[in-house]
Amino acid sequence: MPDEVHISSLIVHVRPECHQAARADIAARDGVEIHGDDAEGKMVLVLETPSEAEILGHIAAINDIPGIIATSLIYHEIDRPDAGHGIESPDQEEVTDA
Amino acid sequence: MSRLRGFSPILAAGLLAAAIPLIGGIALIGIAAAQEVAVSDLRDGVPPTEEAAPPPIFNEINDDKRRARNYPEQPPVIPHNIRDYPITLNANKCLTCHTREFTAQSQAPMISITHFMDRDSQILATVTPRRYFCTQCHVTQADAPDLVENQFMPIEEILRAFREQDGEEPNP
Amino acid sequence: MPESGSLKLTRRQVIKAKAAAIAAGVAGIPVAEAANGIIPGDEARLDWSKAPCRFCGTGCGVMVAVRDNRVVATHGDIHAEVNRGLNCVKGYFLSKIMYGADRLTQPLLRMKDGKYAKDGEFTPVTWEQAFDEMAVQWKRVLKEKGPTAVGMFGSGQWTVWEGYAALKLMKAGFRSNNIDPNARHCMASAVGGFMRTFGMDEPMGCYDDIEVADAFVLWGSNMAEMHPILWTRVADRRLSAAHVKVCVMSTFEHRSFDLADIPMVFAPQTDLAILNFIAHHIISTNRVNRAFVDAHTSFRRGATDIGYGLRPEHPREAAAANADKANDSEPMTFEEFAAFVAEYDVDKVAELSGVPKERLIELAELYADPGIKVVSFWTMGFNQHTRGVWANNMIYNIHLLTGKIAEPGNSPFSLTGQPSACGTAREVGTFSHRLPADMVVTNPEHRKHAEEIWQVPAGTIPEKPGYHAVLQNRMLKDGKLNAYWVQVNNNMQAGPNMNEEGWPGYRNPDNFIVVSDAYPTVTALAADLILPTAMWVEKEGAYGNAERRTHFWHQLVTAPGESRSDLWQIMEFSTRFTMEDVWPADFLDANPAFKGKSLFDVLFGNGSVNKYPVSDIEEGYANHESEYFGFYVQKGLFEEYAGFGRGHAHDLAPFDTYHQVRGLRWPVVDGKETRWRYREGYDPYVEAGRSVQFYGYKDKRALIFALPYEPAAESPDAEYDMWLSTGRVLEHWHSGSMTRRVPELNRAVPNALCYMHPDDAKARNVRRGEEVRVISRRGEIRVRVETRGRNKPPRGLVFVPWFDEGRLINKVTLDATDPISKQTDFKKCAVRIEKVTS
Repeated sequence: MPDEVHISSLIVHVRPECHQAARADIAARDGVEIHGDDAEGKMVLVLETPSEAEILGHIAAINDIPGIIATSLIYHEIDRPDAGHGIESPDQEEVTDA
Repeated sequence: MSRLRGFSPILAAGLLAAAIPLIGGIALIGIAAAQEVAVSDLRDGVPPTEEAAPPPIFNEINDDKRRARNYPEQPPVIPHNIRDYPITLNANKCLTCHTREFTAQSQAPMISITHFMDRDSQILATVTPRRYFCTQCHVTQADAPDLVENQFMPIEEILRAFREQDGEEPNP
Repeated sequence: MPESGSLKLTRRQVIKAKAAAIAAGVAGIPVAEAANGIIPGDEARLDWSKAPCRFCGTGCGVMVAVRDNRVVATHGDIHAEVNRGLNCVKGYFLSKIMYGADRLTQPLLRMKDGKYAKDGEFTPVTWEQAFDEMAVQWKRVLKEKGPTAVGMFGSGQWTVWEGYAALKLMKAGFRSNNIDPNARHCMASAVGGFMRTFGMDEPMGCYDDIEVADAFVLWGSNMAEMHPILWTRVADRRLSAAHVKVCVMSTFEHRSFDLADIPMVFAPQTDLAILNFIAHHIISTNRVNRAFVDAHTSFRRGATDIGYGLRPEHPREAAAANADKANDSEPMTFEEFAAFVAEYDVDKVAELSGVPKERLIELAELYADPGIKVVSFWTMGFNQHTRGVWANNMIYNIHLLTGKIAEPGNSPFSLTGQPSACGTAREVGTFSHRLPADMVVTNPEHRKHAEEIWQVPAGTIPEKPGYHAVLQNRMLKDGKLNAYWVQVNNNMQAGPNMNEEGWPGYRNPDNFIVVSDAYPTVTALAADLILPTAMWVEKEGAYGNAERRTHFWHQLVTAPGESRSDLWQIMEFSTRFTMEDVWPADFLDANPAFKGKSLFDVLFGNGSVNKYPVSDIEEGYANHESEYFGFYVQKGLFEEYAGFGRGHAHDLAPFDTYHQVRGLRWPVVDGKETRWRYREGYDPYVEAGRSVQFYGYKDKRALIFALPYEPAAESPDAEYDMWLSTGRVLEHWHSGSMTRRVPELNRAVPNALCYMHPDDAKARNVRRGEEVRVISRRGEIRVRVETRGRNKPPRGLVFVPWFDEGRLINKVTLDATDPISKQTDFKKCAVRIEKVTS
């Protein structure tokens, strides 16, 4: 399936003392965007990847960053170029409940 | 926090305009005086003490066309017949098309990897047992008429209404 | 068609914004705005708040997204211990239940020539007019017939404070015990079983039992459809650990059988014999845990031949020897108990139940084997049973004989049907015989305690229990109950024997019937006054689920039109009465301090309920009732109510705590919830060094009851040759008044069908999809036949679900009840099936 894009979001819990360093490591990863974090060490990430395998790869790699306590996959959707009818009728294909 | 934001007047007006329900039966209609109202029922107007012929058993929609969801968290409905699909201790017919390795052949949507997460949010190599019984969340759709119109508005519709209200170009 | 290039970007932006917003909602943190330039700013903002699901007793947590005063999305709350992110299909469609186009938005009164008339037509009126007419009717009935002629019928879907306010209104205000919940149809036998065996209501275990059990036994329960999220936990356990066994028992095959290692279809009513067989098997194979039994239990012989809860003149009732002392019992010894169950040997029970001997033994071994941790689940199969209290007692017998109780993984677990059957109906005590915290009106000490907390005179609460659910309909029909208020349930559709009792009762010209509902149900349409009602997140609420978990939610959106919550309705109605209107002159003369006060002042303006200011409401949330009455209504009611249970093993946490957590399981002592009651190390009420204490009874022992098999109230015969069982379906909640207004759920299961064995259909020359009449001695319905659906009855039994307003199966059912619990048996009556030829 050419050109499909997987959009997913994660919540990452990190020890507060490691927060800044982990944040920098995560921000450096291709296809990973940080969409919010708080003082308690929770971060919201949005991933844009060509397949679900890369999502699992990112999760595994993030889990290996020092200070990471847990990584939870919250949302997953596949955006396919032929699926679009505008935002009024999103034609999502994957189950995306949290 | 702004949970108390007011209800848009445009939306409210739109709702009122759409508030003529599409309803099977109209019971207890007042005809003598104008101020009396029709109160709907789901009995095609047949009084509770009487019996009418039941509608036929409707067929399951089987066109394999995906239906837009009301919001992204909604499980997609099943656009095909699932008669005689076993989901038992020994077999799960749904997974024979919807697991990753079979989707190239079947062209069926793949199960999201959210379904690989166990109760402790750990990601397994395959579908988590807690998601094994597909029909707890995913249901077929019969070709039955709606009993009552539902006026739920997806977020996009609300946003569009606001854009129109603000005089912006509506999103195509 | 729009340009796809630019659209692709838009689409992706929106999807990313959504993905981020959902995760941020779950994490409870704000999303960095446009950190990377692709979030469409404030546009995609959603306000997420927690709430419990509106439907069953499982008590799943959901996250609710609100935008501009509308619910736009819901999903399973990953922080909720019960469901950890999952919902069933009903839960996933919660967003749409409030938006049916036929929401009731103004009070409707039956009128003719500008005045109320029983045979008038529904006419819109103001709340002022509605309460004026209601107050006139209540005052008339109170004056003519006294407090026993007014009544209220509520539900396990009332929030905790709604049930508490209703209880006060009836028992302290009108001095009538005629208040009952539809939980009477649902949980009364479970309550009876708990009170009789343990002297204290509600399960000792919790859902955490599931993850550590080795075996599950479903007694009549179809959890796959009725408690789907608990079923995900059972399925998870079974499929993750190969040694785990699941036994599914029912009178017909259903979806839960898909996971069964030991499937078992038994003849209706013979569950009683199977339970005694298991007790006998445990004893005869020497697997009684004697140390446990000697230390923690006593044996009782229960009264037998106790009747069927029918009207006293019914021949079956007149023939019963002990109908008037159904709850009696006398002490016996272990040896006598062993002799009592000895007659239930495997040969006899196999013949009676139709279950093969090997399978019965396989089941009995799950209990007898000391190495197997076993959870028993049941709901309506046991509870809706003319010997429902017995069945509950008898399942505890086998857990007590083996000591497999009140510890992780060993758990007799009574599931509940409604979201607050436990939290409201049972714990608040909105039954005709109950008061909060397991107290009863027949106990003078209990009445005194309640009167003190309520600050009303001694003698306010009548000692005689009021009319229970089934009796309310009979008394309406007989003209003895004349002013009647129904809230948050659909009893015309749900109650048994609608043709002979329910309908004639509501339409009796002597009676004034008020129904509060969000939608025009058959019950609402059978009323004289309909009050439009706020639902779910249109009000601040609290529910208590089946594992003793109390959970709260905030008002998130405004109710449509003139809709008001049940709580507002109860409190506002009370302003229409002075104490002179409701209490007799001699009672007021003896308590002159109450003279001249309004009923509202006595019940809600008492310094306790109106103690907390509106400013205590959490910032960012509206609260209609509190803004209207000028004090934090829900907090005051909750804190006054919690005074009943604190220090009495029903401890609840402080009000504000519950808005911050995903529910807590009572007793909550020193901020800690209790997962396993009666067990040292878990339950703070067990004395140190005692290991186990069933402290509901003064001697801290549970009771093992010797009870026999007795036949059903009505069994098939030559004229009515089939059993009828009714029940629910996964996709619809109860009578379908919410779920059938969600198009996707309606299309999933559009109509009720008559599930029948293909050979039974063939014998009547009926094919799938053809129309039949299901006929009993009381009434009939017309319905289509299904021979290959999800339910597969054995020959001789049909199953018809009751969600479908178009096919009111309760015209057919029998109003026989358990004589102790007064709960109807909806699972067994006799019908015949006739083909309709056009």
